[in-house]
Amino acid sequence: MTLDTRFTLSRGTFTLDVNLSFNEGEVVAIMGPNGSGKSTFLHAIAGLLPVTSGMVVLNGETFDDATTEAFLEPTQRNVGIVFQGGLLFETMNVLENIVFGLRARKIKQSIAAAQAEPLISQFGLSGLLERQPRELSGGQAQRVAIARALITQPKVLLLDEPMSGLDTSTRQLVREDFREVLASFAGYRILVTHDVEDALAIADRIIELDHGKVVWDGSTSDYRNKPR
Amino acid sequence: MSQVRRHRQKLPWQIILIASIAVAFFLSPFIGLLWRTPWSKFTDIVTRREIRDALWLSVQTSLITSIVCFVFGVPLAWLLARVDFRGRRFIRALMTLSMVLPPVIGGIALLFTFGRRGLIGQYLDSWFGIRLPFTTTAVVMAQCFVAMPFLVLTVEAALRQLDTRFEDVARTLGGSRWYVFCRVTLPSIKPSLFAGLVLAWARALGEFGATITFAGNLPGTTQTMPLATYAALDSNPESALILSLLMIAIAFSILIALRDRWLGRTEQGLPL
Repeated sequence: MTLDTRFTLSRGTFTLDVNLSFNEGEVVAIMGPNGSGKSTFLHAIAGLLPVTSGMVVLNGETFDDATTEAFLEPTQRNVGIVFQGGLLFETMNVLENIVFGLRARKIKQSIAAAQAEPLISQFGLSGLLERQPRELSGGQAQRVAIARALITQPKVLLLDEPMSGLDTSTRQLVREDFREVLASFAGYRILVTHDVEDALAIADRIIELDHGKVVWDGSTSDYRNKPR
Repeated sequence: MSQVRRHRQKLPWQIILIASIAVAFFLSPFIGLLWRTPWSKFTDIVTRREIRDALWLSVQTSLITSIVCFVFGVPLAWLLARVDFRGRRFIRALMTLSMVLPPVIGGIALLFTFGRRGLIGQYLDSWFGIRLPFTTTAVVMAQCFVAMPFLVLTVEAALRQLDTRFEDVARTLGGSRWYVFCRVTLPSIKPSLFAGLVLAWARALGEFGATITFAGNLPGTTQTMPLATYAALDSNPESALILSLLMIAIAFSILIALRDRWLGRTEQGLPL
């Protein structure tokens, strides 16, 4: 079972050109400076941007193929995505945020809430359900965002700079917490970060992008020993 | 206390003087109006049939206009903000044009388009027997023509400011475009939606030029408050005064009520 991404994606003068394969159960960190194409890569997997050439294939299912123009909408890919700061829907409380993916599938609120119960207690969010997003700490918002992404049981979980914006005092704690949360999900896990410490602490494999190209791809231990 | 005083001393008196003149210029007409208002005849005039008709017609048409502006304007604003299509700039220019155009020109344009011999009006008449000019529908059309751009441009600006990643997340969670639009996008821009609605409604309520040109000045059918006020100015200036006051009161009280209820004081929206 693999997630295969072999494509180019052009936006203006920038081109992302990758040929990467991911194994189920792997936690992969994608690193690189601003504008290296990290977020664009996640967008292509989620279906928020179509590829210019090549394809994205998950477990044999074609997500996007520029040659045949096959394109699966983001609604049909079942790929969870978590952005920096969580990006919770500010007009909804915590529970409404978490069950959004179920409500979008026309599941009634009461049934959705019951379905979400195991995830809610697993993430320790039971006491926060009535809160508004602005009343949460950075770490809490992050947990809610991940719970929201996992509620639809996605095969892939994408995390775009999940830990930036958190202050350094809580960062260590959140990192631990984060590793635990990630461990509870068995699918493909790809996180984008510009922080080496985050990548080393969380990932099994590290990929480095620069100017839209892969400049490093290897295990975290190799990365640690890599001459810099 | 001393801080306040020091702060005051720093203010340049030239700017204060000039700004005060501006304030006086805006305030004095209202005082003048109040000064000349024949208060003793207030109830008598307000309860007159033609006045009540005009008031009711104004309230009705401006509310219908607001709804029409909302139903058609919000999707248009979304298209302008989110989709890069050919002609987008043209449509936006068109919106701005009808905002800055003298409304009477809009009225003439409507008349020559939807009138009995107009581009569209001739077919409406011969195929369906529909004649728009000088009807209440024409009043609403005239109001929509001048009011909708206020809503469209306000909502479009809010949509542009909204982080599109909220919609992205919602899409990956399985929300159809329509579901995401209703459940995520619209609630996120609620303050601007209401601001746009209030602006459009206020513009509709005050509409004069396009209405009198396209819909005429028929008491009970097309004579809205501004038209009745203008008509009264010649024959019965006292009525005109009271009508003016009435319109000021309606507009002002609704703006205040909406400001407190829907538009957080410091949030985006009306500059109130």
